[in-house]
Amino acid sequence: MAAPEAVLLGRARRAYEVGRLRASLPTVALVAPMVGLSILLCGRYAASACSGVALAAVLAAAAWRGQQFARGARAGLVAGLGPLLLPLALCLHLCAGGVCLLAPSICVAGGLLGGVAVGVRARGRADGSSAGYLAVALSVTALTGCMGCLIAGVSGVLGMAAGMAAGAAPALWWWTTGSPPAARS
Amino acid sequence: MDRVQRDALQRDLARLADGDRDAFHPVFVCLWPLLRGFVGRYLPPEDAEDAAQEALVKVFARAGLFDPTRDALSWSLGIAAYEIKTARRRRQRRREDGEPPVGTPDAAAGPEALAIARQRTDAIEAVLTSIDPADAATLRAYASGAPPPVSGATFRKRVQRALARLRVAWRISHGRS
Repeated sequence: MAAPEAVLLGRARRAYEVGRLRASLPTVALVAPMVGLSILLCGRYAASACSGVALAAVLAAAAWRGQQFARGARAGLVAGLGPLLLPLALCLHLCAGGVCLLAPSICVAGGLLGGVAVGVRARGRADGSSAGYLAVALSVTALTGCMGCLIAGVSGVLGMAAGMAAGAAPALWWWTTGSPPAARS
Repeated sequence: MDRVQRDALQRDLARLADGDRDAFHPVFVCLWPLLRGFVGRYLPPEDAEDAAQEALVKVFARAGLFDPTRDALSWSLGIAAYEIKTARRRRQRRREDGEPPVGTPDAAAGPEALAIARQRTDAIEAVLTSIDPADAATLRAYASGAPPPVSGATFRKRVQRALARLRVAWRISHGRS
């Protein structure tokens, strides 16, 4: 039965929103192998699963919302690969068996790498939209990296957070002041 | 659809694909009459409206996946074409199953149909009074099926001329033929 135009407008709007949510599923599906890798190599089931669920929720929300949020999520995923894979790969190679004192340092380096990557991608976005972009990009990078740095426990996650903050600081400075740090000094 | 409208649709659909909700209404306003007209050309009226609505809803459901490098109009019409195909297949299946086709009127006309028919008759009568009485008489004789007072060829010519004048009068009083 043909519907009046207002009803059709409502149907179209709902279809659009549901369609956007459905379109976010391939991005959200990327979380599954990350969680699998994290559980397999770090052995911290609950923490890995929680990070994965949080990451999936942030990715779905950002992809559904679109615009700078979706771009931030994509940038965050790419930037998060550093802190995710670096600790897992290096710890497997260098710390086979036993407690590895190198792991937190590798997490700091991974976090730094992720923070710099977000900062580089955020360069030149000093406008109203960059707040959402930076917030989503940093959250996604942190949650992705968290799953890799769980291999070093809480110290690894804290180290990654510190490294990421240091790496992203220039971008945050740029965003808050509107000019690059070098221009101020 | 002219070039300007086409460019506007391309721009708005690209914005909608990016997640800009402000582009929703312009796309709706542009696409709805377009899809209704397109589907209406290929389906009977009783199926066209529903199929056009389904096509529009599907366009919006997939708007998030629209690739801005593609042509927005072709992309939308492609979805509508698929919907036309589906509607035709559904219609074919109904016919094979022996179901009565959608929109088949009842043998006994309802009150709404009677009111519409009465309105139409009144409108025609009103226009008949506004044209030349000779033309009106010719058309009444033609409608009643009474034997023409003149030869067949002459009567047909008179009917043709009277119908042309009736159309002009109808267009003046009702705005369309």
